[in-house]
This record gives sequence, C-alpha cells and structure tokens, in this order.
Amino acid sequence: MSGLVEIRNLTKVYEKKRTALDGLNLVIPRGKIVGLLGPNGSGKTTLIKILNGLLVPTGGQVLINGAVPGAQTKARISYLPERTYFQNSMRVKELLEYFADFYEDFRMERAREMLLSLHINENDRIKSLSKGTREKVQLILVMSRDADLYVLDEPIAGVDPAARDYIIKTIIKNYNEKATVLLSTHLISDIENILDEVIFIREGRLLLQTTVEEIREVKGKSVDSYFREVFAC
Amino acid sequence: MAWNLDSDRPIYSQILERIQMQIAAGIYEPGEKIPSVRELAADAGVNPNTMQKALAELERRNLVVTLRTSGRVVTEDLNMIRETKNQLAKEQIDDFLKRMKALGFEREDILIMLKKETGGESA
Amino acid sequence: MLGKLLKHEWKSVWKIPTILLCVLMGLAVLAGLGFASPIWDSGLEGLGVLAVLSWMVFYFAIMGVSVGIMLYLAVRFYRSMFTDEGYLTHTLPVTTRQLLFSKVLVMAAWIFLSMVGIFISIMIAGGIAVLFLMCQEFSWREMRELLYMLQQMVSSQIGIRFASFFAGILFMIPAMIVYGTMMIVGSISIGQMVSKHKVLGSIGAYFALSTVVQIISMVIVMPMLFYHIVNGTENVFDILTPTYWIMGLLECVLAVGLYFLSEYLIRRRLNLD
Repeated sequence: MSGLVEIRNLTKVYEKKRTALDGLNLVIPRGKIVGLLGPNGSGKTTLIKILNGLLVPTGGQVLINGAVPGAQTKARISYLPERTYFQNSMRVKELLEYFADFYEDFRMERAREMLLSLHINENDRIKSLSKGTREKVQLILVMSRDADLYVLDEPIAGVDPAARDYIIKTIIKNYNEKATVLLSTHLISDIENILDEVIFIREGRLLLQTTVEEIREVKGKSVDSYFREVFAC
Repeated sequence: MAWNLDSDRPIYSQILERIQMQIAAGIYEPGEKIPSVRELAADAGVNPNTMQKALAELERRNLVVTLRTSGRVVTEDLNMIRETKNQLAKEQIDDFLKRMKALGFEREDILIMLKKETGGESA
Repeated sequence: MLGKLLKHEWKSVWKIPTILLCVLMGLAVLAGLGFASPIWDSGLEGLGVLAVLSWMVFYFAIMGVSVGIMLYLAVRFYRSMFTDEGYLTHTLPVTTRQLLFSKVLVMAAWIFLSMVGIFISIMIAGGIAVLFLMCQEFSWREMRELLYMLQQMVSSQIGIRFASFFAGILFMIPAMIVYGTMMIVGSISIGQMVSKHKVLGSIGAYFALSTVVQIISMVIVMPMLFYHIVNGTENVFDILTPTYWIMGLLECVLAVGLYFLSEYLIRRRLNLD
C-alpha cells in the first residue's frame, strides 16, 4: 500500500522571501511512530501546519490518504499544536461535547476515563485549570480520537519529567494501532525509544529518513547522538 | 518500576532481557498473565512494535505462551524457567569474572574474596 | 456540519449580549419610571433632575449596548479565528465556507436581536411613561387626536410615497445588518494578515474600508441629490426613498463582495502565529 502521507516537491515561501520549505519530498508510512526531527527553524512547524490545512503551500503537493488537506483530511487527523487552543470560558464538559459533535472518531468514554484519572472535574472551567493541566486536557482530547494520523507538535517541550512520562504513556496507550503518529521534537533523547522511524529535516529539505533500528543496530548509536553527528557539519 | 533503558544499546534486547529476568526471578509467576503489549510499552516508554517483537521472541523461546482465551501468559514449564534462570546466572558470572580478570585478579583470589564478601568461612 | 457549527457558535456568544440586553431592559424601566416621577410629587426639585438623569443614562445605555454587542461579536470572531483558538477552529472537519457562513449568520442574528432589543427597550421606557401620563393629566382625547393626525399624514397625498419609503427602510435594515457584519468580518480577515499587529491591522482595515465605502456612496448618491435640487423637488420622500433603496443595494453588493474576499483570505492567507 502507498504511504499515508505523500509529500512532493513541497515549497513554502513566506513574506519577505523567507523560505521555510524548499522542495521537500517525503513519504510517511502507515502504522508507524515517526519522529520529525530538526533544529529550530528547519521547517517542522511549517510542514505540520500545511498537513493540517492551516497554511497553503507555495508549491508542490501534499496528499493524505490520497486527498489534499481539507475538511475530509481534517476529519482523520488529530492534531496537537504547540499552543493551547481553548476558549477559556468553556467548561471541560462542553469541550468534550464539542469534540464529540465534530469528530466522529472521538471516544467519549476514553476521554472521561483519562480526565477522571487526573482528577479533573468536568464542570471546571478551562480558565480555572493550571497551564500544565490545560496541556494535559488538550492531549487527552487529541488522543481520545481514533484518527488515521496523529500530528503532535513538540508535545514534550517545556514540561517536567513527570509530565513528560505522562505524555509519552498517554500517546502509547491511546493511539490507534493502524494509525501513524508524527511527532516533532528537538528533544530527541526523551522520545527516541518510542519511535519506529525518524525524519531529519534541515532548512526545509529532507536530510535523512530511516528506521531507528537502522541507526541503533547498524550504526550502533542512539538517535540523539546520530542526530548530533548528522547536524554537526 | 522504572525500566532504566540505556540509550546506546538496542531497546529490543534490553526489554527482552528485562522481561526474561522478571520471569526467572518469579516477578511474573508461572501461568501469570502478562500485560498487553500496549500497556507494557507505555510502562516502559518504548515503541509498541519493539515490545511486540520482544514478546514474540520470548514466545519463540517458549518462556511465554499465547492462549486463545487469556492472551499471553508465562509458561508453566518450571524446567524451562529454571533453565533460563541458570542461563542468566551464568551470564552474570561470566561477566563478573571477565571484569575481575581485567582488574588483574586470579581465580583463587576471586574465590577468597567472594567467600569473604558473602560472609562464608574463609578457606 | 453547518448545523453543528451554528449550534456551537450560538452557544459560545449568546451570554454576554443577552446580559447586556437584560441590563438595558432594566434601565428602560427605570427611565420610564423616572419620566413619570415628577408627576407623583411636583413639589420636589430633585425629582426633575432624576428624571432627566434616568433618561440620559438610558440614552447612553442604548449607545453602549449597541456598540458593546458589536465590539463583543468582533472580538469573539477575531479570537476564535485568528488567535490560538484558531488552531482548533481551522482544524475542524468543515469547509471554510461552512465555517465562515456560520460565524456570519450568528453575528448578523445578534446584531438584529440587539436592534430588536433596543427597540423593545424604548417601547418599554415610552410605554411606562405614557402609562403614568394617562393615569394623571393626560387625556384620552388628546391621545386620539394625536393618532388621528398620524393617520391623516399617512393616508393623505403622501400616503403612497410613505408606504414605499417604509418599504425602503424595511429593505435597508437587513441590508444594513448584513453589511455591518461583513464590514467587521472583512476588516478582521484583512487585518489578520499583518503579522504581530493583527488587531491594529483590523482596526486600520475597518477605517480604510469605511472610507472607501463612503466615497463610493457619495459618488452614487450625489448626482441624484443634485438632480433633485436642480429640478426642485416638492416632496422630501422623493429623495429619501430612492436613496434608501440605492444605499441598501450598495450595501448588499459590498457585503457579498466582502464575504468572498474574507473567505478567500481565510482559505489562502490564514496567518496564525
């Protein structure tokens, strides 16, 4: 079967001629946990925004399940952006209803169970929750969907080790097994054990796409040290 | 229980060793149900496919059996478990001896030291 | 999906405008009573002041509520579309058209409701005042005479013109509501393209658009006014009625244009930070 995501010659040039993606070619397979790795400003977030239909590419093409980003692909992608996107006056309960209403693949019981285990009251308003709790609620909502593709943008940036473990466990326990998890990060060592594959990008171009097994067993290195080596030059 | 995985060695062999050790040590008792791949993977913080591979290998070695009704359980073949335990012990001893030799100790010295350390009577 | 969007959009905006309109109703009652108060006891000077004051408060409340609701709707639109909330809004499995259409519809509905609310509040204030007047020195005969005069005015020789004038207003009100909505939506959609100064960009776009619209309407209406002035018009409705129709039509055209512009900008030029 063809890849879940097929990216051909993808280019994005912002105002003032700033090139974020420069002819990127990439196929993201199904059923894998894939790390999207690259230094800050390498084009990770731009690529993620294009996948989610938040940006229109300057050139090239993105196909998800054979379709260009739109209402149809959005129904099958579960996206965790770097920002928390809640309307703060909403209650947790209302958010659950919102997700259940719009996303057919949203599993209410699963979300409820996870909220319960964190002792989050569904009647609480978002604004009464701490920043860390809000981020967890957002992760719970995203991971309560049985999507085809989970796109998680820097899910562990700026969190303490306990929260990081919680996040990683939540991802592994809940993602749909037939789905692909695309996970962008610059904190490779924290997350490399859960990856099947890695994609290294730099300056909007694909530098390397390989399996973690290849790096560990053939090259005999951790992904983190291999990354440092590749990007050292 | 933290898994403390080492980032430089293949994850697969590390988790394989660890579960094997837990079976040998009786933490997973004979006939006991083993958690699902996903739960184990989440607990260890590793890729479920890797965990799946490790469990498949344990199955191949007959330490773990898949039952149609209750999923994966630890084998009830006690000989098998004992054999594994001995095997792991041997590996530990070999490793230890290798290091002691590297430090320059001879067989006799090692034995004397071991007895002393474990509180046994001196030779 | 449009139904769901409408439902959630309504749920997210109804509270504040409803509260504002309720406050306005309360003030209308007070103003009505305030107007009636000097009649209770004309001996006290302070009550007259109170009456004037209550009407002034009511007057400013009307202005405040209508501007407040508009501003609230504009801010909600901006926040849900172009701030961090946009990351959820724009990844819902809906088309840009469905999304924008639901927002515009709910916004227009609230502008309409606020107009209705203000109208009702004035009726309440006036009604209470009239009620008290009737209990006092106001006579039914005078009232009847007043109504008769109004009736005469409508059914006299300007009757037909008055009817078409009224139809013009009826056409212009919805046109104005939709146009007002699209001015807000359009200027915010243009303004969001200015990185890091989206709010400022939106305000700037609003004033720029208003200016352009004013120039266009001047260009259209002016020749007509001149025509009437030069030819000498016997009736003010001959000028007012066509003006309303033309303005209404112009607003419709502008609203449709702004809608498509906004939709295009949101689909192709979305600029979330």
